[in-house]
Amino acid sequence: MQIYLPIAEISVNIFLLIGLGGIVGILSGMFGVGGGFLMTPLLFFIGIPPAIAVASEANQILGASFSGAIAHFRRKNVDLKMGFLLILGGVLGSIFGVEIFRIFKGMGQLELIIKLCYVIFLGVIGIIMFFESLKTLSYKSRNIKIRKTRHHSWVQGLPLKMRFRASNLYISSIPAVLIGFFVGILASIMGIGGGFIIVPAMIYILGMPTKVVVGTSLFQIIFVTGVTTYLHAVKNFSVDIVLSFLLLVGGVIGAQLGVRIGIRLKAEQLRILLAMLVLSMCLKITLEFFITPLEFYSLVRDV
Amino acid sequence: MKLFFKLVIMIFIYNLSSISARSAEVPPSLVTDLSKKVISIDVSFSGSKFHIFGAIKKYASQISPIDQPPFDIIIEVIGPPVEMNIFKKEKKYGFWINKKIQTLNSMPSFYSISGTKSLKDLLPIKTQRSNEIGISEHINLSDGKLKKEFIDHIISNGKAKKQYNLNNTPITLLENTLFSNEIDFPTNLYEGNYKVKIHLIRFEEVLATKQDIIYVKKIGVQNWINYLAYQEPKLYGIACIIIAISFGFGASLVFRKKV
Repeated sequence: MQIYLPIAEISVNIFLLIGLGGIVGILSGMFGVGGGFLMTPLLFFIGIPPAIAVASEANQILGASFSGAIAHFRRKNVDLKMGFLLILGGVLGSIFGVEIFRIFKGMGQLELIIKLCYVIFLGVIGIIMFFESLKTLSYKSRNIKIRKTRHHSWVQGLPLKMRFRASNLYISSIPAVLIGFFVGILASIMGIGGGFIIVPAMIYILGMPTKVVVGTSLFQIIFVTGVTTYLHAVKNFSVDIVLSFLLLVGGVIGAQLGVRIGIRLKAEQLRILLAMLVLSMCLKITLEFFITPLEFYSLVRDV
Repeated sequence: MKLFFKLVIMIFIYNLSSISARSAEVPPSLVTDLSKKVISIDVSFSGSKFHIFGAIKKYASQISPIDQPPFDIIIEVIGPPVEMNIFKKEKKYGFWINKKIQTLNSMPSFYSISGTKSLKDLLPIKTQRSNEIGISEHINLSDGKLKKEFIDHIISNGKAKKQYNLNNTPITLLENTLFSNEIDFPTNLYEGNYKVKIHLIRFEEVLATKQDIIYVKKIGVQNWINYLAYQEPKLYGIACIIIAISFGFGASLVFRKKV
């Protein structure tokens, strides 16, 4: 059954979209990852224009993260003060990112920029994930010492210190805003939540306790993806609500399945497969830059 | 006296007009109709078809070689014009990247041509140009002439997306009078007026051209979403946020009960 996507202006099989949402949902449920970085390149591969894929995916992440954010909020696993600093940075980053997006769109180079970002991002994530999972596999029987959270000296040396009660910290507010800013740019250019970056950054750079990390990052993600959705809708007319909705339907069901599969199977050992998937997607996008194209000319509609 | 003059002038004019009618041959004209006047795009739109019917009408009182066959028919369907930027992939630092070539002022978002014979067999290029028949005549560039290479690529791009159909099955002309043609619309249609131009051709000359309009419009949810997204983007952005949040929230309620 075909469905016409009103903003992307193409007809796509409805089950393909729900299925993609479902598969990515299963993977994100199994491995506890956001899924935006998997979904957006898959949308490129099925022919959704990158600009539409990114903006609609940001909206999907908003929906997919919302319930998690509420659950953590109820359990008081959110450091609100830190969250607001991250959101402040995130919103600024999103405004900046959408502006970059608009400029490159006008130059006809948007696709190049989005894809280059993805090559770098998928490459780095894939390699890290691959080696981490190799380590987990080989050290599985032994006891690995848990890495101690450490505060970088440069973080402690920064001014504008604030007290964060929920995280039990007294640190500068500058790094939190900067982290938020960086993730906001990623959200608007790549259509990802950025949990991948923000979680390690909170633990290793800010030194936040793990208990509040996930909740606070989800709290930040829903605000930043919300603002990103709005800005893309207003500035670039690139949010396809039908696309986001179908991906949400598949994604939510998939995530529930994924969590159950993850409990039964040893997901940590399957993580190496996820790493390989990420690396192969990276490779596919990279090759497109070097293989002589079949069609040299392309037409882009003026909006 | 005045009345008499008027009468003389009237008779004179009547005679003049009848003489001119007799001396010039009236070429045959076209009578045509479309099976649909409106095509609606809704959420489940998966392309559409319509028929063009027509007949060649000759003047009974007239016996003239212009009424004799061979007649040929060319039918063009021209979608609403769109403005496009052309990019060409060029190798730079080992990468294939897009380079903007120029802006097309207008090109048809859809184009289909069919005929009893192919256009190039029926009309010389010069006549095609003066009558504005053929795909190249509908592609206009912002500055200067468009290189043939670009036109070819625009056309092959359109063909690949099924927006340009240049190799349709030939039209058969029954008894040198009746004809019909089926047009296939693809899924990626633009909203607007689609011109249907029917040309009657005899010995490399266009005898008559009839123009009809078929209107393609988005309806239902489709139209609604499009209107909001482009006319009320702020409202649309907020609606997208609300829909995503309420879906996420609803799903968490449903699954919490099951677990």
